[in-house]
Amino acid sequence: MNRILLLSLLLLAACDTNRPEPYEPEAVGLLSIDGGNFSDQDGTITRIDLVSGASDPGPSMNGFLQGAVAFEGGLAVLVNTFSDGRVDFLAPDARTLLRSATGFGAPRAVVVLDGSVFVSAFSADGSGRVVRIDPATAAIQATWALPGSYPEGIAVTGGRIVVALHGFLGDGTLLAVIDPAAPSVATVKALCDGPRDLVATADDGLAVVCAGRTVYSPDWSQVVESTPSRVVFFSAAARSVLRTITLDGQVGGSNGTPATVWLDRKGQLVTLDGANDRIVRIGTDSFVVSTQSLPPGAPGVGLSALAYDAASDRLFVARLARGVGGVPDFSARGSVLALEADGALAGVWTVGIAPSALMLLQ
Amino acid sequence: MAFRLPVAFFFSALLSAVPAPARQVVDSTTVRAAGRDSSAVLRTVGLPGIEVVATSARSATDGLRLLRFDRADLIAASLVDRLALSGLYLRTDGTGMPATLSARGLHDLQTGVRLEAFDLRDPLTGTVDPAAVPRVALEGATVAFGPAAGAGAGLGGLVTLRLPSSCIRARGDASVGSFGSRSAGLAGGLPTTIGCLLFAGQVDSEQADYPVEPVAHGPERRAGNDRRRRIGLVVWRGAAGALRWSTSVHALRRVAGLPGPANAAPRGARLLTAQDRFSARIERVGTGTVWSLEAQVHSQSGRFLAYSGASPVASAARAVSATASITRRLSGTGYVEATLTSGHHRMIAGGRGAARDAMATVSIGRGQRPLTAALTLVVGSWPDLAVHLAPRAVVGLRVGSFGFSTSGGWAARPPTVAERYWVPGGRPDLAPERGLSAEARIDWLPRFLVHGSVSVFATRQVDRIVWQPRLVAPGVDVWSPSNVGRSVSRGAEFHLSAGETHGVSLTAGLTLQRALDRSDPLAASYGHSLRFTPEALGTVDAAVTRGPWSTRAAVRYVGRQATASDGSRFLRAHSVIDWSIARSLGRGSVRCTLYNALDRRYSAQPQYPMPGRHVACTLHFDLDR
Repeated sequence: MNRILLLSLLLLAACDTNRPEPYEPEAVGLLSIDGGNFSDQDGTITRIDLVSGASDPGPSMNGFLQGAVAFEGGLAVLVNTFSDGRVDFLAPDARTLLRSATGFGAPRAVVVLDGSVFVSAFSADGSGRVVRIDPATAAIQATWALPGSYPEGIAVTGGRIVVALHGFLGDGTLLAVIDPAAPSVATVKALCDGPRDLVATADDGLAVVCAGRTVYSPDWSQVVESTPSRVVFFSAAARSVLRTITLDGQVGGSNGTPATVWLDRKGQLVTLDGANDRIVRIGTDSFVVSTQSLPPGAPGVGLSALAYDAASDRLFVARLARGVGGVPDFSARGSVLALEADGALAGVWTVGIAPSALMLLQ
Repeated sequence: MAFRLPVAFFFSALLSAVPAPARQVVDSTTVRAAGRDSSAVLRTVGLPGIEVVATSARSATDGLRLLRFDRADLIAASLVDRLALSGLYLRTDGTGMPATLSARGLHDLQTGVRLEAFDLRDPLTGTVDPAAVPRVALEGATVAFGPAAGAGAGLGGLVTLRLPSSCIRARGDASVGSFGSRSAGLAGGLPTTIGCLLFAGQVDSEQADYPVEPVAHGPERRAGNDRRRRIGLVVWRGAAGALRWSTSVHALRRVAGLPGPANAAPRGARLLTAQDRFSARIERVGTGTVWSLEAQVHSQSGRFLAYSGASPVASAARAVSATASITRRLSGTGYVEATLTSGHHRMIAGGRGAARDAMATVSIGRGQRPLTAALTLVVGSWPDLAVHLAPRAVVGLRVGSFGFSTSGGWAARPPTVAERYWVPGGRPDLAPERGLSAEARIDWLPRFLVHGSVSVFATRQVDRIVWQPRLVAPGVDVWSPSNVGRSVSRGAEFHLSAGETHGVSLTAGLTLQRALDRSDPLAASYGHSLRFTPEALGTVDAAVTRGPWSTRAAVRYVGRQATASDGSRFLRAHSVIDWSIARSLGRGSVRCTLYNALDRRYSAQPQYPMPGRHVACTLHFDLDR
């Protein structure tokens, strides 16, 4: 396993959703970024050797792990704590802490551009910001206040940073566009409710997965209004809309973390419908939506993270533990499933509690 | 209805074996943990064979294992420390913060705390802070292990705090300690022609800025969690002819850094908690009959300070309850008692509803050594007038220096107001948690001041209230309670105490317990230990007195406990030694305690490291000495 981890760490999917996956050799390792039980703050990183099947759960990282991205020299992990958050920069072994950055609120999503780490984050009152962090020093180099609440996904397209302004329960409708060299923030209409996941697509395009908006009665006992999820495909730098797809119901990961990848080789967007245990695929050749159910007997409930290995054409998905009555158990270990192209189950691994993201290792 | 055939068979067999109703008088109830017989401090009325222990359902602790602490015990160690040494499991996230109590593998809401007749539980959440009463006002405490549900507690146990039975003059204490902790308390009595006014107050200040166990990704210190607490208590007690009364006003204000783990130093945010309680009780003692009426108003609120992300008033609730009871002496030492309690609970901020419930208790028993027996029937209307029966029976036999007793039955814990009406997620239709418990115990009393006991217990819980996520939007869950939990807990308790002889006293206890989830065979948690249930609790408390000097060592061992529901993660076992030395000073004493003398790094819950070695010195005075 160590041999694998000493190899170059390369993100193919999940958190760094902005780069089309290169045609790399088949993945030999997998990192499961396990959120942990939020109240226990016991997130871990499970290392899985895909060749031998061995797994190493790793120590508690004193926080809920929201996601991660590879940077030159290691791994940047987003850590949510009760009232704050931080980015831990780890060595390539995904264990050794190099340095931490704090002071920006709760991190939600991360992307790398020009050697810097860009993180979307919000405070307890929902106000959002993007911070640019130098991985070499963990110093915050710049901060952009966002014109919307509860930011979520972040992506790079056309040399600009785009952030999904999700809003409270999906009442946001805008994307923030940031020029890393300028202090100002522009906005673009997302043309949907509750933009959440962003992925860079072919030719500097952008796909926005919108969760939809939900309005509850004041006592939260009834849904007053609910709009369906949509996927909006933009051309380069979000300048024009190529297509808007309305999905059946509301989709999203089961752990509140990014749940969309772009399969460059297939020209396909894959996102998770955790509430219905379905994988949703949208091909950009015809913009046809297809859904894939999990094989019978697959352990766990919901769907919380995914990664795609182009070389083996396998999709890796993470699930939460099954709780009493079939609801998720956020205090028990989750699992990772490897799915063949035809949907058959190719492998199952037990990982840490509430996996948030998956990263493949070449 | 909770009554099922095997239980009915049990009661039938029990009653056929007992020739007449009888009240159990287990001798362990008159033996204190380490020293003098404390039965004299109990408020006793003149019914032969009946000991009124000032709970609204007096028979609730019949047959349960009892531990008593008196004033001297509570000076030698704080109430919280005493409870931690009693075999209860105390969970806290640090010094100066509220602690929860649990017993026998059952969660904290299953253990109640009362100040004499009155419930100290938070009317909103049902949780209770045993340190919420000024310590200088306390005369003692009794811990009952087992289903004291008749007193409004649950299946785990009941802690009853006692106030002085007579009008004290003045007593007080002041302490200083590590991490900037300071505390002072004062209590005094004012005798009047129609009774005694007892005043007590306490102010505390603690700062949890202490080094913590080094972890790979966490800070080295826990900082920013200063806690301040102010408590006031006024009690008026009196007697005139056959009437006796007691009224009290109790207020608690607590300001603390926002609850958070070691890695989340709050940024100036504070949580102000306020609790106010008014209670009154009047009783008439006639020939062979005691009538009593009790009333209580209890309000609670939580307010955030300097925290922009939350509403100014996070939650508030009020509970009003009234209890009427009658205890009637039968021929010989038999008795029958009936209690009716009605409560009205309302969320006045942060919620949307109110709940009414009622509980009736009827007990009949006769105590006539060597065979004693009692039968208690509790009828509760939780929720909305649905009736749940909780019959319970106990029988005891005394042979020489050994006492044998067994008890069993159903008990129930009503859902709390928060479980019913918390927004979001509350469920007004929740049923009470119920459980079938059984216990067998052997007491050994070879001579005065020496007591040993071995208990085995088992509890099968159904309809356990479990908070679970309910998806409201992708990635957004609202947590909501439901009656989906089932569990089985089993264990054994060993206890040995030797009262002060030749200046030496010793108390030791060991609890071995296993609490397993039995909710859903398909769930990851099925068959695994319930979270935060230590597999073992061990205590040793030894004291030596020589002239005015005394020294004491207390050892607490807490076995490992699961933090993951599938048994994949545990908090490791830990043992802590506290050592103290004291000198008597006429009407007072001074005591210095070295806590965590071996400087162990441990936590009672994840991410909340407890302090290492630290010290506190306390000066006590008591003008009644």
